[in-house]
Amino acid sequence: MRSLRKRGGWLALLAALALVAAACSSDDTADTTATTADGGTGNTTTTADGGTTDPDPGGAGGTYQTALTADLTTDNYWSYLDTEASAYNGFVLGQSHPALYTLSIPNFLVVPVLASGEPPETVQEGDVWTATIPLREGMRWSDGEAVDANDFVFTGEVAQEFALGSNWLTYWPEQVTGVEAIDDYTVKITFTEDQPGLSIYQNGVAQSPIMPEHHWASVVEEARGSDDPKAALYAASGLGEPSAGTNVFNRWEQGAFASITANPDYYYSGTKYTTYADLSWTQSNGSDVDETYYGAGGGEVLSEYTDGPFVDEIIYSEYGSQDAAYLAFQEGDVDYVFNPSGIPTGRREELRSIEGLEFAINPSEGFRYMAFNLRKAPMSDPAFRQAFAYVIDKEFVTGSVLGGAALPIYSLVPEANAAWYTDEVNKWGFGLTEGERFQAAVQVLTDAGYTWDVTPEQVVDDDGNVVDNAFIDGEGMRQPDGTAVPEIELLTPGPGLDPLRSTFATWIGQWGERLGVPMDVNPTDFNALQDKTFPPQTAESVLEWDLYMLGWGGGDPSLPCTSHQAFFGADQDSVTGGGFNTPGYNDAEFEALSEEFDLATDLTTARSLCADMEKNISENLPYIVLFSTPITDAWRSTVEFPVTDVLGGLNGYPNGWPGQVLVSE
Amino acid sequence: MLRFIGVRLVQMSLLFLVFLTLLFFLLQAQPGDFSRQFLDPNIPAENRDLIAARFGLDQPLWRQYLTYMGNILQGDLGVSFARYPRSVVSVISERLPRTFFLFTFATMLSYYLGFMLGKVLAWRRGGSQEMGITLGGVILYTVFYPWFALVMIWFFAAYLDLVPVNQFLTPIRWREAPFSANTVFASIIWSTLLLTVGLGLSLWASRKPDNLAQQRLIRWGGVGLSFALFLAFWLPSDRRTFATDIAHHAVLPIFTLALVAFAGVMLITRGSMLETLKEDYILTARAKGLAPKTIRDRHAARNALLPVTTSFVLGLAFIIGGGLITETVFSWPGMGELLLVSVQNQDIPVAIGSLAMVGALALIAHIVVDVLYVFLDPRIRYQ
Amino acid sequence: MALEQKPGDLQADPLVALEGAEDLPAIELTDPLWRIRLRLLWRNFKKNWGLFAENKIGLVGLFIIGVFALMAIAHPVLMATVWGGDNTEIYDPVIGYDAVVKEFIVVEVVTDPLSEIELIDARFTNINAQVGDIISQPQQPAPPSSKHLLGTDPLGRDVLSQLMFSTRAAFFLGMVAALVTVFIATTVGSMAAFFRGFVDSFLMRLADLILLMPLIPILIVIGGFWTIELWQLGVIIGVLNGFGGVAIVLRSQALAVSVKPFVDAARVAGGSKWHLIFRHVIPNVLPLSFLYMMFGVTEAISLEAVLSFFGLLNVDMSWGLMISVAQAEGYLLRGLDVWWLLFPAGMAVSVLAAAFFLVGRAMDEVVNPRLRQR
Repeated sequence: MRSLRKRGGWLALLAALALVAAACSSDDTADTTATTADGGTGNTTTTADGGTTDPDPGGAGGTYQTALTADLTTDNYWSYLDTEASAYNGFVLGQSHPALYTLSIPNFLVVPVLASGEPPETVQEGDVWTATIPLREGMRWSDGEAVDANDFVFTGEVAQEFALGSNWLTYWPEQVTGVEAIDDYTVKITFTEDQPGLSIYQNGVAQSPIMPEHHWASVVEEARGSDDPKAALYAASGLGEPSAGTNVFNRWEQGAFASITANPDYYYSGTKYTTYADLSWTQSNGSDVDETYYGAGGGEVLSEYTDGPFVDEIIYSEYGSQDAAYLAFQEGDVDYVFNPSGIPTGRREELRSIEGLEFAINPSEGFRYMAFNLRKAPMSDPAFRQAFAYVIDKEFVTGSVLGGAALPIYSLVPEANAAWYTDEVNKWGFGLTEGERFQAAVQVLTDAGYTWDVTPEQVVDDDGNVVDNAFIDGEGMRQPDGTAVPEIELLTPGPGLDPLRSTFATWIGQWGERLGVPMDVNPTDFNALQDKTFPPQTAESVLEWDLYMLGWGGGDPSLPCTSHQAFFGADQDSVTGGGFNTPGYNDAEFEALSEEFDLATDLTTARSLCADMEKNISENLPYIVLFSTPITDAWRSTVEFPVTDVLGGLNGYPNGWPGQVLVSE
Repeated sequence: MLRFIGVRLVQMSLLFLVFLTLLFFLLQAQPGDFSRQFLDPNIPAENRDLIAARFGLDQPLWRQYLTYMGNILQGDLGVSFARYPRSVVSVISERLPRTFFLFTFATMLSYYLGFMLGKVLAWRRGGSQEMGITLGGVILYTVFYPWFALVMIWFFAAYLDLVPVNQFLTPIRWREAPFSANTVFASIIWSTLLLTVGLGLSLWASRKPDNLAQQRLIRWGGVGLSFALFLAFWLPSDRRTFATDIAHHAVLPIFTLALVAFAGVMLITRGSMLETLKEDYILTARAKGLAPKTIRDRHAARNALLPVTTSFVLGLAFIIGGGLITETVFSWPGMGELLLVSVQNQDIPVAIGSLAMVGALALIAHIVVDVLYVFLDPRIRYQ
Repeated sequence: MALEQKPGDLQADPLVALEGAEDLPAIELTDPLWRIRLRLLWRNFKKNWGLFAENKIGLVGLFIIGVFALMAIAHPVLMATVWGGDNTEIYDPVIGYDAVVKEFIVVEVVTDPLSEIELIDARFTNINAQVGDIISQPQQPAPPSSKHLLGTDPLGRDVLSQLMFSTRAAFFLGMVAALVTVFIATTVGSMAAFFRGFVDSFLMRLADLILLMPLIPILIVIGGFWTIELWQLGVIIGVLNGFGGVAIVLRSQALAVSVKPFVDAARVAGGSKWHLIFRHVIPNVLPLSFLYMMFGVTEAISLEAVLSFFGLLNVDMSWGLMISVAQAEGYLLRGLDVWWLLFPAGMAVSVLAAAFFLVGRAMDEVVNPRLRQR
């Protein structure tokens, strides 16, 4: 009896806790209702005034609540493009700075923002090439100052003087030698003696974000005088920095949430962007902006949306894990979850059963691949690689084992990037049965001179019929020169990190064994895997791996083959060039294509060269591309996205649409 | 006594230096480095060298080590790689109060629970009650914690909707807040600390007079005064609603932590109580005919408190390390989460900084325990 | 124990030396020495078993361990019989695959959920699906059926087979960790206590050093530069514990033993140092070591699960990995509707860890006379 009473003590304590919880939760509802009411009123007024269902941009009202699945790490736009270049920082910061040009959605064509008109041709002036770009007048920072040529020049000068890295390097590479303001609304960019290709000019410097000089000049001046100018520049807080984009970044409670508010003075507010079936693109706001590029415009409309900002405030709540973020989404605490890898299968099934949600599924730009170490036999033998290409049944693994969580792919550029995609790549055994794939692989190996003690073959049943899915594994495989095929190690991320890849690797191991290749599938820690396969490498250390399986994230959809050069260019060899050409690919045809691609100044040439590069890779197989994972998005029906069919999903390009999204009650 | 403490201090400083060295080389021995985070085919490869140079990763290891140790002796823990160029000290001081708040309350609750139940367990050993409590406690103690924590969230936050889902505050209520969350954390921690001191003082002072009425007066007067001051601080404060918001968010993680941790304390208390119950003075007390409850609570439990206190103080040090799992699962951005993320990202300065912090506090706790023993157990004397 | 630095962890259990043979009846000295030793051992065992069995929680723990041991033994037997042969491809815990493929017609509005599917759901399986297409969808994870008693996981593998297969891994890991811990801790503790002086200070400062390190982050770091496999994890946990906390506890036990009269007697009789350590000190420390073996197993099992949960281990299959796969695919917060993905593995980790812990607690009462009822 006594012990019961004693336990009554802590029961009382728990009860007290529960009471606190209950008290707070009733508080909570009251507050939320108040907010909702406010937002609701705002919206109703707008609809009544406008008389149409078209929302009134410029912060028509409402709060858009979202979840981040990782922490924001900076509020400084300079460092966001350098050391803090994460997708999560981009969701919050990405919509505040204009550029001369940007990419259109959904076709990723270069279209003007601050610039007026298409990118002008570069011209030769003496030894060097220059581009003189007229700017649009009338764009203002949110504090009222004009956005002009001086801001662009300031940005370029700081980027180069302070040697800002990462993305700044791609915008302001050494090929850009100077930038000057001819007058307030004309800039002139000077390049080296080589005519700049697309990646340097239209897709490079022309898309550099522009920083407000009047805000940063004093910070930069102070930074110049300090011991470490770059650190001093990055250390400055960017909260409240004037914006010329849709939103201003105002508040950041570290580890908890960030909040951006609408920029009512956004220049393109209310502008309608239209993409037509002939890929021509129009921007029009009914008054001073009315332009059409890449064709005449008109005809069937492919996609159309209006620029915002439509919501007063966007709140990004930071969550420690995906599970936590999606639970908050399920509970209605947030309207959308920013998650670059999309919603996993199991979660999606759960969300499908909840009322009031909408879904989209989009292909991703990234891909997973298996790389061969071309510096070592037998991987250096094309026949050996082809045998693997034949025997790896991507359709089976993705469709059955991975249950549709992955999509088989055959080229590095995704099919959804229609302008750059080519279907004319070698798909090695596409459409063949398991048995036929096996036969083709054995044939390739036999033709190349490989021999076995026990030849791999299909089982023949009592009636003399070939059984399609029963095999006699090869044994004692020897290379054409008579030496035994050594054990081939396949490094793969462990099942804890990525069940898809490790499962795929297990199957590849099985298929290799079936051909008689002694396989060792080795799930490896991600860091260790990278350390073995990526630079810095020496001529000896690079020989320590045979095959590995990794993936690349999204590249630049408007110029995808720049990454091909990084992956396979001879000058990017992971040993001699310190680059990402881990297989050690060195092919004369590819080098020629790559060189031409660098010099291409128009899209048509670039695209055809890119297609040729794709074909070259699919024939010679330094990589076997395996699969990509489509990205699933879900959002509350109160939210409306301008475009839902877009490569990379809703939180891909452009940073999750903070400026264009609509929230209603 | 003083000499003993002095010797311990010297020993521990040396130990701490060795500890830092070990941490440094252990973390540096990982394959790759922070510049590996910048593998992007669209960015020129030389960028990685720039990043490596920026963070001093291109220097030979021994020089990095000397620079690091040199800085640390001057109290400079370096600059975070992942939050460049924030200093490690500023990152840690942002996270520390949040962790301190959560885990101090959780630890106190679990010790309270554990001590109370442990007493009962020892008192009624052998019964089915003991069996039940022990089994339940041990299962909670060994439960697969990440999953259990998620189940708790699912049940209390999603299914019953009693508490908010995750995070330590409700962003929508805080967007207009005129101060940062850490200001509120500081207020909560200080006011609670002062309240505790106030309560402790009143209890201590109430023992002085011989007169029972005076004792009561001082005790209840002191307690009342402490609470009155506490409320006087909070009720008119504009931080009150924000503090309750944080408290509301903290309920579930504190409760969950206490549930999985109390069994450890319970079993220690039980063991300690069982030993105490064999002492002669308990026999004497029984012989005097004292009520069993008095014997249990006044004579046995108080003397059984020593090992529990030790474990409490030592445990407090590790509070600062926070709970990797708790903080990650509950989205409570404290030291534990910081540690996990920095180790995974190879943000070495932050990783060493936070581990060093935990280590330093553990060392201090060791000394505190040594000193505490002298006060709690008069039989112990250091020469 | 392993999950976090729980407040109780650092507590060294109260120690009192073993009082071995005090109340044994006289032994006839006519038998050969080994037989006497054996009989003594048996008698001791019976006495201790009696003490152990007094405490029901210990028996509960033993029973649970027994059940799991049966599961571990049964798996290879099953793989060789009912799950073997042609069924290996289905029931293999790592590369098995089995899923019922269902065909659906893609429609705008579903009227018959058994044969029709909404476009958006079809596109989740095949991104190019159009209304009117027939798409086939493998059903995975599949709920329990007669073919798969505990259903299949998101990759179409048999959960029961995984569960049983992983039991072996858990025992193996636990045993490695426990044996390494006890071997190192007993040696270190005895040496420190017996030699004192420099050896003692060095070993104890080393222990202090290890105690300063939070186990999980350190294991994450180590996992970063080694591809940790199960046995290696066992060894690492063993080494860290063996040189750390357990060594300190066993040292104080050894210290208490080494000042006992019988050790002095042996010393006076001319026993060498090593003779004293191996014949007198270690045997008297061992019972306490066994206790820590049990706690070691608990810790190792829990740690493995946690590390797997964070995706930090590279093992083919384990309980932690089963949960990790379910988590990676987003099945973790589904409540009860995919219970077979979470509960079997989650409960297995908790229950087996608890069982060893309970046995440890019960052994405590055997080892530590002051905790006994009488």
